Amino acid sequence: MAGQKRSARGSLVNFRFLEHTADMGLEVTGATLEDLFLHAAEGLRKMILGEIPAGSPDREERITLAGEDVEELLVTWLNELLFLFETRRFVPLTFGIKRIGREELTALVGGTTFAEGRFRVLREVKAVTYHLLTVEKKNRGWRARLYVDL
Amino acid sequence: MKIRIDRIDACRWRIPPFGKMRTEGLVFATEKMLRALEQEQALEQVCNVATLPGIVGPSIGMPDIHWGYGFPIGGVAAFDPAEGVVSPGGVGYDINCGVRLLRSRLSVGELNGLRERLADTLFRNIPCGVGSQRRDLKLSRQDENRVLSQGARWAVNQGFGTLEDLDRIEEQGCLPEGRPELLSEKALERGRSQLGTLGSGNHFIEVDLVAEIYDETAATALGLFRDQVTVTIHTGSRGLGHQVCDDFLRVMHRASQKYGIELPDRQLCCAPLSSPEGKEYLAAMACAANFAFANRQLITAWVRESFERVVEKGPADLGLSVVYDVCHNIAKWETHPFDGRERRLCVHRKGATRAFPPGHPDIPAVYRAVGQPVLIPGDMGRYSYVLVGTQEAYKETFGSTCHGAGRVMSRHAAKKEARGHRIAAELAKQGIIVRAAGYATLAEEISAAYKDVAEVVGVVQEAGIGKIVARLQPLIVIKG
Repeated sequence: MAGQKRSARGSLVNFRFLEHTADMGLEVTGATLEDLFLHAAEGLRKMILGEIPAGSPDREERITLAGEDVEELLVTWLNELLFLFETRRFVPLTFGIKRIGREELTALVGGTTFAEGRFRVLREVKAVTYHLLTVEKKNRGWRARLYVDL
Repeated sequence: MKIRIDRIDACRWRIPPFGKMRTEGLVFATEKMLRALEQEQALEQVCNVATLPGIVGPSIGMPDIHWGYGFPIGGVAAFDPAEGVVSPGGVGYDINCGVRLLRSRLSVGELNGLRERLADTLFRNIPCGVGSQRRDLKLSRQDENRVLSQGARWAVNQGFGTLEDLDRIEEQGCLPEGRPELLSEKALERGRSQLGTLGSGNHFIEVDLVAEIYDETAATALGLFRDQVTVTIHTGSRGLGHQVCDDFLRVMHRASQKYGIELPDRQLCCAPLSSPEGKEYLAAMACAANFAFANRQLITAWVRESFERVVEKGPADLGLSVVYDVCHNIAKWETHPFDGRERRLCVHRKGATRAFPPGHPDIPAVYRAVGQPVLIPGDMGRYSYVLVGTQEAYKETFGSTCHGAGRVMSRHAAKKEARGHRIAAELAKQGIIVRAAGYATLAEEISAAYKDVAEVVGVVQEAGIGKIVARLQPLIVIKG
């Protein structure tokens, strides 16, 4: 269930799904905080849509967020992507993270509109939670673990 | 963490307070269930809830308990108005997720030759995929505010159902303390596009038959008879509720720090019931609960419409009327006898159902002799149960009981188990027609992924916190 491939931006995708009786988790790593957020977004998309067909973005969403700490920022970022998918049928493809710190983030996310036939929904994610949430800086980069409510 | 747990009787277990626990834990389970629980963190979560300020009575785990976020799923806890707290983690993301049961005048034989068409019509009529919505339901901002204040009554006022429906809903389908102005723009936007939609995961619509009656008197009061066609609707407040929960988790995280509440788990963040943050959460939660009541009311109307079209009978001949509608993710002000006096308490039920006893004034007059109907769905391949509330539940669990089967298998494990099986075809062989919107839904929702709900309600009955009335068996399952 791990993602191991080159993303459109050339970075190594690095996440795996975690087992949970009722729901699902995601473990993500990244060389930088920016990579961590990017991989987490790709992991969440894979959780919902599985492998998606290749395609270029034809829409953009600008995202500006703040959090009290890096944990809250990560949850808020992923929940923002869920919100865009649910309400505006926005499937994110590229993640241009312009500015990121432990408490704020600005990104220009390129994507396309969800269309039946082109994409298939594996499962609906209600929300990304704070349950057993960890975001840690290690010697060789960043690691996060989080659980979603299905 | 190794937790000491003492046996009280065949289906009751006590966790004596340790560490920062302010009260004991009380878990309803067989020994087999308990051993399985020790493999995950549900018992630890029962203990975590027991550390919260102002908890009254034990931190309770129902027989369908499993590992949730903050509170366990299948958890009940009551809090004192002055000393206690309210926690969004004690309600869950899907605020007022609940179950509604409709009865009909039809016997199962009257659906012969119509079942496939009925399944297709329900699947088409009730939106259940991502972004799917009824074209004839456009919700203005003003309308949405009315939904959030009025709940199911809004839907009835729009012609979706009758006033009689409202009498058979917990709280008559409306928590009056809702304040729509407290909801974020995001919550409102999610709500506008998702009112009248089923959602996915374990949410469903089932056409069932009454396979067995265990209590004739109660079944008669509930209008149930053997071989009768019934419909079960399981859904909640959709993205609006998820957003309210997420928004208030941020507020509560700050509030916990502000009021010096020590938390064993961030997802348990909370605020005093007497604080502005606590009051605002309850008022926003009430809006989401009202949204869910309206959601189930709209879906009821479309179920009726689907039956009328396929069975070619009018409303009076079909007689699709509401038996009852219960919330199983909610926090509510209720009055309960405790320590020899009546106390007003905020009761959190997360994956637990209110189960008020015979004679309680808050249940409809028609059911007052037998107790409040309690609706316990199982998995899509087996059965569901109808129970009634008891005095024992009122005394011991703040009038609460279980809410469903409870998962025992992760989604990954369920998919592995389902590999090589043609699930829809196998269910069809058992006489169950299934339609699902999500590609992974059927594999992840196989029967083996859940506890046998018969074991769960067996514990409930043995413990006396619910009384089994009837068993329902699925004929058609619509999954999101």
